[in-house]
Amino acid sequence: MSTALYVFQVVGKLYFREVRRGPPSSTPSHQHHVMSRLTRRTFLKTGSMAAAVAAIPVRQSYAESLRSWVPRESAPDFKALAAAALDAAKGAGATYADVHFRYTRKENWVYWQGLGYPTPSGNNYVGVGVRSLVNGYWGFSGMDSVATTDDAARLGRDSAAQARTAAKGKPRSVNLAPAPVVNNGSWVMPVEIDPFTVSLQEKVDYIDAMSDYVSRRAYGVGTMAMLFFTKEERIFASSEGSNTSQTVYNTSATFSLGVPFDWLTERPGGMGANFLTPAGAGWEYIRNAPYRDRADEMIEIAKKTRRPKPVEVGKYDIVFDPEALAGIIDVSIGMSTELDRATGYLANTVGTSYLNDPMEMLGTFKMGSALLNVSTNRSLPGGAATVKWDDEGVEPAETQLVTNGILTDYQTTRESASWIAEYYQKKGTPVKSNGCAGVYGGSSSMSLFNPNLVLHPGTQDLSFGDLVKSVKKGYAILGGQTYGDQQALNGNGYPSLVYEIKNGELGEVVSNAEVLYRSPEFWKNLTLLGGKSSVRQFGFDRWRDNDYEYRVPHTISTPAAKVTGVAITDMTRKA
Amino acid sequence: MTARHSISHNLRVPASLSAPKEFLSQEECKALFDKIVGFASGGGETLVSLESRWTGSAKWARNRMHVASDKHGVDISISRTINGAGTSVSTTRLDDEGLRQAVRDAELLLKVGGESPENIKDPFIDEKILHPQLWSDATYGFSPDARTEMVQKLVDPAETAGMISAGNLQVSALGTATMSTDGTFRYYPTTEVECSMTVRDPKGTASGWAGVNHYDLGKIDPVALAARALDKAQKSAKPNAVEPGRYTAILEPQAIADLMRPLIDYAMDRIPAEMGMGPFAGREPGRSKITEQVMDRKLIVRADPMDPDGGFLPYNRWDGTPYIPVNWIDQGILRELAYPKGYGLSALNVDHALDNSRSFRLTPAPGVPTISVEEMIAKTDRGILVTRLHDVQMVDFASMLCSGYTRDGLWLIEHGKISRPIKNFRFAESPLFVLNNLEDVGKPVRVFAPRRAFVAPAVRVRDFSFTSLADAV
Repeated sequence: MSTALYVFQVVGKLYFREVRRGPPSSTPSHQHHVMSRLTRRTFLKTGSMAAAVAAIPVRQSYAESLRSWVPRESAPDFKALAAAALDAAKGAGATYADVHFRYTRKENWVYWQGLGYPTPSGNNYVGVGVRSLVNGYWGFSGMDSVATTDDAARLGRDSAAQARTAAKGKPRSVNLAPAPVVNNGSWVMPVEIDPFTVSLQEKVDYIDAMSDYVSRRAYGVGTMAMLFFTKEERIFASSEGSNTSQTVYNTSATFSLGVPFDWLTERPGGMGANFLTPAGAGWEYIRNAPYRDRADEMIEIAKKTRRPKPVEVGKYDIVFDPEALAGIIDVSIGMSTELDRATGYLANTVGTSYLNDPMEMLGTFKMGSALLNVSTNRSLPGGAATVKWDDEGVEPAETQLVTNGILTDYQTTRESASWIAEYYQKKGTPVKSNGCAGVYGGSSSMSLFNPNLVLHPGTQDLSFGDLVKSVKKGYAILGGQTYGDQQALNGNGYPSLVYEIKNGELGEVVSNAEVLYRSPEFWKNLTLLGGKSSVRQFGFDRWRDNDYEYRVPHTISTPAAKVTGVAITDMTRKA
Repeated sequence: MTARHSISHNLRVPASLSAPKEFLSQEECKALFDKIVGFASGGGETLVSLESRWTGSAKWARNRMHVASDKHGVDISISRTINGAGTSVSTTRLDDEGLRQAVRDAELLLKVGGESPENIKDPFIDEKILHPQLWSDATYGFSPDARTEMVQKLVDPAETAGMISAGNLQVSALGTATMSTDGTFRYYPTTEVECSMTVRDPKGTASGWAGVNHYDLGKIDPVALAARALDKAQKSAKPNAVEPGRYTAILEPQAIADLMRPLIDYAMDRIPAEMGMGPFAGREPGRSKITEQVMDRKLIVRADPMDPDGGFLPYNRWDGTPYIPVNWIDQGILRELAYPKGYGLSALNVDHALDNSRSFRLTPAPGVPTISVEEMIAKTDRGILVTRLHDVQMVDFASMLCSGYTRDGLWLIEHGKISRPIKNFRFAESPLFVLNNLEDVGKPVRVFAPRRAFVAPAVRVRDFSFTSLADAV
């Protein structure tokens, strides 16, 4: 299970076993003072805490500390630092070099439980790294902290030296697909409200009022929440003369509620919000989240989960909601089309891909039914992988990874695009990177990061309900977590919520259902797609490396869909 | 290029404090701490947990080095506590402005939680830590040239055999410090080496893996690992499918360690267990399974910083709490679960915390006979030999039921011999079920667990549940 789900299971059970309504006794008295000012009516009326905040003793603004976040008083001359690094790299023999400066700021609130709020914590990651290409080998040198000109030059020299040492091995060649030079590229992700300009008090007040509102909708409802904000300055320069500067935001939260034990089954019930997954957005993502609209529905579902029916193992027609389908897309298509993974570059960590012969498979391999069309899209509004340029200075263009069911492209970088150059040349399209290069921090070396993916909706505007109507006997699978094997070939999903479908109608909630799939067979059985109005998007951030070094946030946009012949089993069953 | 660049010139500290090394010295850590304390305002306590880390690595794939890299990292976590309100802000900045800003951020953030003056701070007691040997000059001195040469040695046999090798060979040196205004001062230099590789056939129908991590390069044998990975790859060509089901399984040390990981990560805390959560929850609220049999009598699960094969940093680097050698499970009986200091004082009348280091040694108890994997195979009429497990996920906390996939070498055993390689499976098993179905156990060895120390033996177990075919290679 995801960490969040586990935490909820553990902490949620802790809370609900005690079925407490008030704040913990150790809560300081001023918190009661705060809560008495924030009534449910106020929340409903204004939807914002502006009125309520005015009544509360003013606290020091967090925005004040933002002043020197990216050190403006002593702002490094990034151009000069980059030049020092790149000149040194070239002087030491690099035929290509690039440098990254990264300032990443995080604010974490873990976790709100009922009416007790947490103390937030913060992370500031600052680092710089230089990559050099010498005789077909890459060298990298990185350091944390703010670099001086001497540091930058040292990194440049070191990275070339690393490459030269590696190049003592057998011959190897690297061809970087051409990319236009970007001169002084600058971009700020368009968000409404920078979360780091929002006072801590406003965040506290908003989540408190929301928790209070939801918990009063029915007897015994408890809530839990976590908030995560990230803001990153990405500064890049290459020896080809490109330089870009981008500000990227990522905001996510978890919000779950639980209802007390059912008198008959003695099971607790719970439900998590699915409208807070990682997004390229700001504070408005939290402020505008539809808690009020969804609270009653979530509580009803949570209650239903207390009296589930056991799942009947078998193969069924399944209607997946967009969230559940997004998980399967992420694993079976998002992982398998990473070209470095597909050619064996991650064989020693997370694995390889079933799409392991790109030149043979491009243009011919049947990924799924003709309904399957999947594109990359790094311009998706609110996308967690939305950028103007990737981390090699390439402006990502949309490309179709799957066209009418056939594999037609991979996720690539400048180096890996050249591995399938022949395919592009035969097609008559330019050989270029699809814009998936990524570094985790300034001091980490170049990798491939998943872009946002879009599964195209069907031409008819069918809703989730329409898809359900088309199933005589099967299940509706909503939300959950999906995992895959080491080739992204077989996978399994643990849904958040499963309903029986009988004669086109949703029936009882079912427990312990697990979805098993094998990628090509699964997608070949894709028979009906939801339309445009059923499209939703969800953020994912799975670990890309077995060392659990970094998560790669990206968004998947998809309609609901119906897939036939899907294997459903009981997750608690052994062989 | 020498490996001994000083990074002290990245610090705004006087040159007299610099020294030729790749990470922060004790003096440099102390100087940083003094500076951070100097930036603090508002009273209260300041705790700094600092890890400075140098890593030199060689990654290869498709029989060629891909990236040779060198990285100097630092992570400074600054915790400020004023009148019972506290939080931490971490930074990777070593300059004055960055440190000052991190301290100020912490002081702003902690005000949200509200003060709890009634939270009485424990008086500082300088608890002793153990002093395992965790530094190796061989590891530290493993230069980029030497790494490149070694990678060549590891790749050549695979390439000559017409196979494709991918892997990682990296060395690290760390200076880890935990320092607090209440008197805590801990500093420890350590080294780490990781070596792992995967060998596959060009068609992607066979795969073998081997790997290990350790503090001492001199105690690992990369060439032998490469030979094992190649051997497994060659012996796993052309696998057939066999029926899913319950089989006698011989889990190599890596496989059982992979299955033990969720247990060590999630299940070893006393308070949740006494509240009824997890596999060690007792029969009634307020009790855990301590003193009950949870595993086969032949087994001990131990964590000891002085472990000869699996030593680790002798204190929790976040707050300085010493790791006390502990037998979590002794002859199959649950003896201890981790608890914080307050619980120790109030519930157990002990004046210390028992912390979970997240490293472990799974070992047969003294006097238990051990046999080799070959002998285990010879004893098995029908069974499956497992190299390692992929992506082990916990499915049910109460039973520790986990699922995942087998990987990098799976063979059918028939009538005491390996008969043929078989296709991979999904499994659904709990480490507790598995170690209650124990038939035989081997000698424990160090396995691959980056940043941790896992030591485990091969085990032969009954009725291991392989639930469905997963024909990935």
